[in-house]
Amino acid sequence: MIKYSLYFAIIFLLFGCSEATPVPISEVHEVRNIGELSTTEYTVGKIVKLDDTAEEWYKFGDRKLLIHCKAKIKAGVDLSKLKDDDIKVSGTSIEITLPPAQVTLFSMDPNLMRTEMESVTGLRSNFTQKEKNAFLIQGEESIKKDILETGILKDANNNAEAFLIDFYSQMGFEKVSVKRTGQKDEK
Amino acid sequence: MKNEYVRLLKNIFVLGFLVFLVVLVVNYFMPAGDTELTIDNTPIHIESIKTIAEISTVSYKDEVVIDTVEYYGEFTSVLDPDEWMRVLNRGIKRRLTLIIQGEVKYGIDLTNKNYSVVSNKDSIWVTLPQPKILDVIISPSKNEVFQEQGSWSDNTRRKLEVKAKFMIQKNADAISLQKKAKENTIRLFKKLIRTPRALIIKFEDAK
Repeated sequence: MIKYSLYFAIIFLLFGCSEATPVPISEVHEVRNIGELSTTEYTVGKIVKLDDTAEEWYKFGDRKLLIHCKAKIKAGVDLSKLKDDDIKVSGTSIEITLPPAQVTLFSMDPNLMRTEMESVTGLRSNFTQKEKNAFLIQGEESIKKDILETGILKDANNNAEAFLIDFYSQMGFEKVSVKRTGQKDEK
Repeated sequence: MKNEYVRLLKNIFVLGFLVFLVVLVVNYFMPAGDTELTIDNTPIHIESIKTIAEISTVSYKDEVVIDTVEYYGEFTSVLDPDEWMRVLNRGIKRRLTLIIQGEVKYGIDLTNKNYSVVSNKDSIWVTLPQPKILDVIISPSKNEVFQEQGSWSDNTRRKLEVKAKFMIQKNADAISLQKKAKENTIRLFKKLIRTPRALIIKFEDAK
């Protein structure tokens, strides 16, 4: 008993003087003026699939993970990029040159994520939350890359054009012409 | 001769046990680094496509820290190995701390054509809906697991993320960005509507 008490006291002395990890406090915020017209909203789903099969001789067992996640993506045009000469009015005619469409919002709601399967066998360690977040980041990057192949920017351009024609027609313009500047990523 | 065999077997057994311990440590106590593992390439599937007309005029970005802690219970015995961990971990049994960055977008939603334009020879009156929060955005790339002590379920992490999202929205509400959103909306519409006539932009009465 005395022996254990001594061990306990030594450990207490060794670790008792260092600082506990403080929780970071953040009070940083940024308010920015923007002017984005979002005209199309896509909801996409993806399965984040990880198969960590042991290849090294000293690792026994596998780790497998399937997470289903959803992302909401909006696209449209940034009206704050409009320059003075992008809007030309002549009597009852108006000509507007729009900047290229872009993704205006990308969000992955935690409420819409669920772990479908998690399996760890043999002597492998469990997945940590840090690892899982890293896999979700990879999934996010993959969605951001693939979404441009779906035609979202083309839809955004078409819808922006339709919205502006309708808006200016209501204002009494008889001829509304919407031009687009070069779109690099449009499919 | 027999004794030598026994000693050899003992040595092999001890060596085998040591190798087993090393393997156990490598496998269990040293998890694979985050960067080493890459997810498989799976396709995305489009679940819905909507035509919308939302004009965002103010963006608010914020960062919140969210933390959950579980402390050890009553002291049991100095012989209990779990109690030794109590000392090492300053009485904290489990802890999960996340740093979440988020963005709140304010603006007007014209999706249902809920605006009106009335004009005559001298003036144009544009009536718009009240600005509101259009989106509260968070995503994994803006989340950081700052500290993870002990084992935590996915559900707990998600609950913390949802709480952080709510905190960001609450912080945005606290600095009354509706007024700024209105000013920016008026500025934007004045830029879009070039007219020699008087332009009057007003907002629907708040409900």
